[in-house]
Amino acid sequence: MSDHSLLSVEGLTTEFATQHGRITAVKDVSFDLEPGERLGIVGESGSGKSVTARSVMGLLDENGRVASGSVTLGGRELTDMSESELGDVRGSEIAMIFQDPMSSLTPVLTVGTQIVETILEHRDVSETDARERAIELLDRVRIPDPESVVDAYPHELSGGQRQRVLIAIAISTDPDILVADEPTTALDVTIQAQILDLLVELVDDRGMGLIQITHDLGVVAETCDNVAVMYAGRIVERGPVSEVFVTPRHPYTAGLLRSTPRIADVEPDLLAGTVPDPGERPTGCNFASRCSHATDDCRTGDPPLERAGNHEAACVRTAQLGPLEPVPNVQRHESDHSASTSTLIDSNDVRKEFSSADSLLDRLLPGGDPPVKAVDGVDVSLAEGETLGLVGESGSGKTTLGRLLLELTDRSDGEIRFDGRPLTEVPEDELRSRIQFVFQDPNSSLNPRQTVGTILQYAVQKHDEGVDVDSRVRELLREVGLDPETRHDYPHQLSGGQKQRVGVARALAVDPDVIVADEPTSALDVSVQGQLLELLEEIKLERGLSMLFISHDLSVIRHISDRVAVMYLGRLVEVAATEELFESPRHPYTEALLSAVPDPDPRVDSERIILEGEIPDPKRPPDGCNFVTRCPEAMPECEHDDPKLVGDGEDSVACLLHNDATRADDRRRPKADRE
Amino acid sequence: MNYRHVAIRVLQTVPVLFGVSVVVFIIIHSAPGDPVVNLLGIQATEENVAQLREAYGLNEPLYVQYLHWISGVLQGDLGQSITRERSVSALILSRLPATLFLAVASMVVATVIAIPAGVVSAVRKGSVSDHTVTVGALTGISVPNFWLGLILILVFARTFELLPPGNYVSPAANPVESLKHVLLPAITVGTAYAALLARQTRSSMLDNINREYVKMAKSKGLSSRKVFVRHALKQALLPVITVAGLQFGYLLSATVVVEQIFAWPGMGRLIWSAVRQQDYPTVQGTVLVIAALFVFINLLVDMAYAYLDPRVSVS
Amino acid sequence: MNGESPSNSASDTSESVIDGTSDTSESVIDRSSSARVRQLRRTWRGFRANSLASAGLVVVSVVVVVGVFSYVDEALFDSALIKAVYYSPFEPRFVPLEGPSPAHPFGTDTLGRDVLARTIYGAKVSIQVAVTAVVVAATIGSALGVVAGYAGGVVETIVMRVVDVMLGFPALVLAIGLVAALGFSLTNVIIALGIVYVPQFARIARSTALSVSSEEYVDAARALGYSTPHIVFREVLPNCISPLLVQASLLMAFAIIAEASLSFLGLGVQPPTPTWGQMVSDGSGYLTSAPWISLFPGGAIFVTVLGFNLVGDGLRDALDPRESTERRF
Repeated sequence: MSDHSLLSVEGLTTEFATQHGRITAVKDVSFDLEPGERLGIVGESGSGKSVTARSVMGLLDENGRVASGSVTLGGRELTDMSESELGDVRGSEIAMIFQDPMSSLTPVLTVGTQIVETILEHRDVSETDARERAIELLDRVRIPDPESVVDAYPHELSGGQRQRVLIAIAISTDPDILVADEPTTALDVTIQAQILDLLVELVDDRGMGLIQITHDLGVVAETCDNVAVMYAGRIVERGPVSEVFVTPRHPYTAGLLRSTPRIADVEPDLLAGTVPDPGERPTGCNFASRCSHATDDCRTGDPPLERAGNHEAACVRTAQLGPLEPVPNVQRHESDHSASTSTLIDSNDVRKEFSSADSLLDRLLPGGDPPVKAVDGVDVSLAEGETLGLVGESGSGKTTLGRLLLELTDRSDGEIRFDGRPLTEVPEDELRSRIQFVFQDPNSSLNPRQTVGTILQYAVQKHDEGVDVDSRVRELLREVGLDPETRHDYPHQLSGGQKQRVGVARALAVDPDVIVADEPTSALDVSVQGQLLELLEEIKLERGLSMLFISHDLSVIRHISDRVAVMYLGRLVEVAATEELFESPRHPYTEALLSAVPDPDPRVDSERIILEGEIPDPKRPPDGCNFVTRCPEAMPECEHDDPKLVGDGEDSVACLLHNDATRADDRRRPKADRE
Repeated sequence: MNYRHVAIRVLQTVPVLFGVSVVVFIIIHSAPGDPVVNLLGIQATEENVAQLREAYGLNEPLYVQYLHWISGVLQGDLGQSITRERSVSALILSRLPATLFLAVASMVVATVIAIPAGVVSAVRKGSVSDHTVTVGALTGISVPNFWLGLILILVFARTFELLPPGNYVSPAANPVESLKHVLLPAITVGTAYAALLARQTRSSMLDNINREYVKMAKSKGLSSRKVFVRHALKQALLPVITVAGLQFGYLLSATVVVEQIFAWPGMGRLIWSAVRQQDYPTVQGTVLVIAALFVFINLLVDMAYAYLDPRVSVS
Repeated sequence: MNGESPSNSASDTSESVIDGTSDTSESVIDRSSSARVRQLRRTWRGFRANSLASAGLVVVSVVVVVGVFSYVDEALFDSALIKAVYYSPFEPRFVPLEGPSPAHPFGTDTLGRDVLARTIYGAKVSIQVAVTAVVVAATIGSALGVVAGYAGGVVETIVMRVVDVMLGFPALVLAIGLVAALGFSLTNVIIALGIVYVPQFARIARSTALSVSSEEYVDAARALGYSTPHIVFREVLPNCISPLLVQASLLMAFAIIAEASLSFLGLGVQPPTPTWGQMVSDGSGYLTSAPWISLFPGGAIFVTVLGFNLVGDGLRDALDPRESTERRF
């Protein structure tokens, strides 16, 4: 490795003391960072990417330690430094941006205080100057009205703004290196696009080195020059992004790239199995058990990182395998779903308001917050056998809409018809056995005190008391691809993917006609996510189910849906057939949303539309079109005229660019008409 | 601070105080036996009983009696003591200062010891000082205060004669003497309170030390001291304040017992003697005042919390 | 009514490097023994690893055994058992105010009764009051709290306003007011402390039930159309048990002190039944001349309360998921 590198990591091995003994989270990791270089470290959870970053910063948890290896910054060894010596380096020469903007700012200190203290710690300036500088920095990270934000508390800012503040703190002392640990994972896709854009601009501007830690291949492709792919605590492949992502040499890199759902018109090619836990790593190549190219040689020793083509890979079979294909060649099978089937669920002007008042007094006293219009007049329908993708950013009301359809939440107004009858006339028992929900969070969706068998048994008995429960439970587990013996396990003994499968099995236990799946894959790693999507699709086809699939992830939506509804701030802005929507989006929001998704293919040079500003507060939506505050094509009339979702055939859009219909026309109709 | 929150919080105490008064009233009026017979003894003639019932308004329906009582209370009239020739209000006013002085002194003693101990214990987790604090706190919450008080008297007042065994001296009359006299009772009352605070401080400090924002502060290169004091401590003290307020009720409870041991002429002794003598108007009045005081302290604590925590809008 | 700390709600979303390492590895090794047993065993192991908690459990067990012995001896055998092996706790047969000696390890009291014998019998009232009052309060309070937390709406408003009012009283002051009205007897002390502790359980049960009710598996149960009793008793309640159990063992400690305080004030169980608080009070006038009369029963209270506190802390450490994740990594 070169001596003039800014940062040089050599043979870094980090261990954690646990009650099961010592566990090696990161093993023998080496990389260099040159001034101005942008390096991505990418991997799934458990790969050790975050631990690597924290080892470099000397910010490991109490039970962690760097067991061997060195981290040198400008020729000085960081791993030997005392806490106070590190203090001089951290913040001034190497700064870090944390993953979760919500929990990374101290809640009881103002934004200004938190920036100023960093400057004062490392620079010999007066407090007034430091404050001036803080305001400049806030302006630099494009926070509107920095003079007042400097005195705001973190909870008064949105997630995106807090992430900007974290960036402002990180760059406040002009460090040579910026370590960004999943800086955009907690953010919405349009906000992510803003932040990534800002980050790259700042780094280039100041000639800083950037280490971008992420699980998202698209983020790496869009922001980094070089990449190190980590798997189970080791770097398995390293080199320029344009090489690694185009001609990967390690089967894991290729597998990861191929299994990532893309906006592009290809079917993901799944990676089987899961990442081994750090305590259970096999001898030999960690990836061998999941690798289709593995031979006995792979199971003898850890393959070292060696030159492969123009970059490096840690695989004993590099020479035999040659460059691998990063993009699956399977063309997307377009849905054969015909639009002619009958409508199963139909909602008409459905609304849901959540009061923010929590007591009677709160409601009576003037000056309280107005209610949140979570769902603000939505017409949506689901046909028999179709999959409708409902996509939106956080706060769009997509989850609430899903819950309204099952009456898990009472609606404030509007009507939902199920199978031609109003929901109020459908008997409770019929409703509960015909529509089911698949939940988002694998750690919350299963009762921790019941075995998988008990969970399913209750559902089976609820539906059909006469059936042989045990055989039905086993059958269900097999159907979702689990070992029937799983029924004896408690949820905490299962992996995230397995838990979600149990959740699917529970929904299937009552033999439903419709499944509402609310972000069922968002908590899972890419490879596991693909497996679950495939399962849902198979089950849907086999059982002829209809599905409402709710997600914030456009590539997932693209993968699974027949038709897509785009939601923004409580309203539908566009509904269209999947291909139609992705090929030629009509609403400016849909267009921006699509362009904001980072593509893992570095060859695609997409022109990004970066939306300005934040999603407005749903308690106080703008007059006129809800999107007017961020719309790049807003016209004067958009300020006051509220567009209505009108369709021609299957595709409809709510935008004054496309038609003149407004929601006001609707309101003039007598109320009886709507009911 | 959010003024709307303050208004809501203040208004919320009104129904609580109302409820408290109803509960006190019901408890006292559910006492078995006829209070008048109890008062006059078994030799009372029927005529006497009827007269006194009339005089105390005991023939009225219960809610009328309540309304009568509560309207008096709102005007500062808590009724007449049966066994003493004084009004309950006057009795309470003469006793309240001693109790408040003891409670505040206990609180000060406890806080001064507990919070630094809790912080040190958390910051040096696993060290000798941590173990000392942990074991000390556990002992503190387990020791019965009346027993502790007796031991303190035995050791410091009787054996070594270092401090007087209680006996209230008004701080206005003689501040130095008064502090000497309050020391033993304050330690007795404050021990368990200090133990509770130290435990809470330790656990919430530990909770904060592992938070992301503390790591973030470290990553900015701040010294350990600044990280702890600015980024962990202030935040960690918020739940301590809540506990301090809730456990003020413990302090008030403890004074009732401890006042007996140290011959402290406060509310506790008043309740005790009133209960022994079945002086129901006095029991009713003192319990009501102590409860109202506790509700008021909790209101103050919530205000303090809202002032210190910028995130509180409406809790 | 108290400001709950919002700081607890902030969740840590940083990438946890190893998820569920301990659990999955174990499940592979022995699938043979049932999972429930394994889970119990893990809690038990966590509890036992804490040597202080084990010591507390020993203390509590000894006191409970002594209490049960005294109860049986007095109720069924007219104190014949204790007389057979030692002395009667009631008969003033010895020289009064005699210091500890081999014959009377705890000395004798003002009337010439053996203090050790009386201390043994004192365990009866302490245990009886603490266990009964806390069990009753836990049952009623938890039920109210869980129903309020799950049902919400009017039920919750009514229950919680009553709880707010009850919590407006300092615990011992309310207990004194209640025994003043009810009269000084064993049953009334139990009733009074039971009433005082109901809101404590209701509050914790409600906030736990509230957070459990927002878990997705409760929504799943509603989506599947399970009956309300099924949801409350099968889905919500079992997940509220841990904090309630911890609260119960800590409140036992408080209840023992509260009972002793009432007895000390002469407002609890009346003589001749010996209680620890009463014994401390009896000796308080002889502090310099015969300190043992107060010190030994007071020490008994202290050790018992310490035992319950240690068990409570141990249970909390063993059951708190946050603590266990912390330990895992």
